[in-house]
Amino acid sequence: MASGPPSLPSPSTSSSSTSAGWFTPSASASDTCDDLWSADASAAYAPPVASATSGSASPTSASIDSTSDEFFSCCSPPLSPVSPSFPHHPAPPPLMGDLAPLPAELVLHILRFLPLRQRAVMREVSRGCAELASIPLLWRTVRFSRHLALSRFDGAADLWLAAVTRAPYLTSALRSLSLATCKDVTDTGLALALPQLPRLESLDLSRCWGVTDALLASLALAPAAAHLRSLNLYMVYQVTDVGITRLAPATPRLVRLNLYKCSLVTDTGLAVVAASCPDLVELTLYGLPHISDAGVAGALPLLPDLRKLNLGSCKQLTDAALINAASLPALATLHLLRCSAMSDALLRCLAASGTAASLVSLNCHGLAKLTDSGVVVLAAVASDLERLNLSRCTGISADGAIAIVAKCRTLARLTLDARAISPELSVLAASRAVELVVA
Amino acid sequence: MSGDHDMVKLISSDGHTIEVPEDIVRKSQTLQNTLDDLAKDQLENGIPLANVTHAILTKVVEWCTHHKDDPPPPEDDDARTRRTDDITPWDADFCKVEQTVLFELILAANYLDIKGLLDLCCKTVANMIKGKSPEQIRQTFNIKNDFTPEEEEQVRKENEWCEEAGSTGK
Repeated sequence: MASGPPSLPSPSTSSSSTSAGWFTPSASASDTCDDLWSADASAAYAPPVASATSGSASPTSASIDSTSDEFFSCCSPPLSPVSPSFPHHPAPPPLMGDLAPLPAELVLHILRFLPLRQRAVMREVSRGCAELASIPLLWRTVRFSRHLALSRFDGAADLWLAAVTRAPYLTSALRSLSLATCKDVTDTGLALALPQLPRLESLDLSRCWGVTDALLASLALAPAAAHLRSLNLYMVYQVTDVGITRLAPATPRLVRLNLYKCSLVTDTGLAVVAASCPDLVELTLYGLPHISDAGVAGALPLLPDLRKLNLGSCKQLTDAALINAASLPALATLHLLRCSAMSDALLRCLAASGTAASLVSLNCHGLAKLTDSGVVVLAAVASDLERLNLSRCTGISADGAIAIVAKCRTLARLTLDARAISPELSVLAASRAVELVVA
Repeated sequence: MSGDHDMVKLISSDGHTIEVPEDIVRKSQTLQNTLDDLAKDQLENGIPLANVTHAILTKVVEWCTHHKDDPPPPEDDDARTRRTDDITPWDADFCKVEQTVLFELILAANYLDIKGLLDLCCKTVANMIKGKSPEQIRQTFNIKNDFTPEEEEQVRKENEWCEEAGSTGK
């Protein structure tokens, strides 16, 4: 080392491949962000300078989160949680051939650039590769929809799920599973797999038309239910209040729920969801013809954290449904498209109650009762509003549109019918950097 | 000191000193922190880099110079598989080096915390793996197959869920 005063310490990486074995936890393991690998490089690979100043020699004891636990539990020998079939083999480190000079964290970074299938192939190369490529960080998210077309399980989703349950390295790691558009998956296939997926936090069943209430009942009993955060039932038509009523009380930590066009769900299901899932941030109720004003008005006050609410095409709804939105301090995105009974009175109420102040995006497509005055009142107090859709709002004039742009300083995008766009509006919009979208 | 830029002296592990414009040096998060933490007179003797040889440091500086006007790389998105087909011709050429040099570049980019270079080199290695069978990967990296036949059968079984159409699975 030269004599100059500022000297960088030796990188921790130089030792980790030679000293206590391959998987010596380095400074990166003490990173407290939820996902070690989604953090940028400066966080994930704490540079030596930072680690030296904080005394990196001992991995933190206090700040290790679950991610780090997971990292350690599968990194340090024995590797039992991931591949119980392999006996523990002590030093010398796993045979990684020419890759040996690279510390585990960097080989993992390389593997993260591989598609899942190729990561799996790496497991077949050698014991060392199997150990490394089995680390849960590599197996958190699986989307079957994209995978299906190429897989030998094409058209046999239940068999695929059964094969998944035969891969402990995957089932023990999987947090996000998407079966979107997997039309042949059945309640039975899923019910057999769910008990094997204890860490699941996000389940996307969009367009899984074989799924019914029976699956929701199975999910309620699955180990993942208690910490499930996201459930997408987009166009899962067969779901009814019965399934929702079974499931919701078992998923108290649900943050995101999509019931788009689950048209059999009524106020009863909505009430149970609102009472059981107080942490909901996103709720999509689009196209539910049986949801009433009373149902929405009863549910919303129970959901103080709601940021995104989609009530589009709930044909029964009127202004009364949302008078209670006054109690939604976090609401940022509100979709009301085609709720054609809604009027200026609702927008005035949102403006008066303060809800308008938190709105970032408002979609009023097809609200023919709206007039210039109602929208202008809202625009004047919507201090965060960036996107406003007034297409098919036949009551909005060109003058009204100008007033809206003039009042709302934060607006970035305004969607209008062509007839409401005048040359003056175009000039004003250009000067305010508002993008005008012709519906 | 040059006219336009302050120059920073970097000392490689094998004792060579090179002078690099400060804005290039700042592509390294590690060195940026060093520059920000230390007074000018502390930097006069140069910054020793314990684990980067002259040859590798020259390559790193070449890369940083070519990419000095790049925007900061985006945060990694855990949810999607990262692309490896977005390597520019210049970068691809830059990575046409011996495997050992490529690995040394990865170590240096990690040490110096240059995310763009680290990702480029890791993508290049990933592309050496992509599409290959286990046996081909063993040959590429001189890895010995140390599985017992039973273990090999077991890993295969655990991989059935992602086997390609047409595979027998046995």
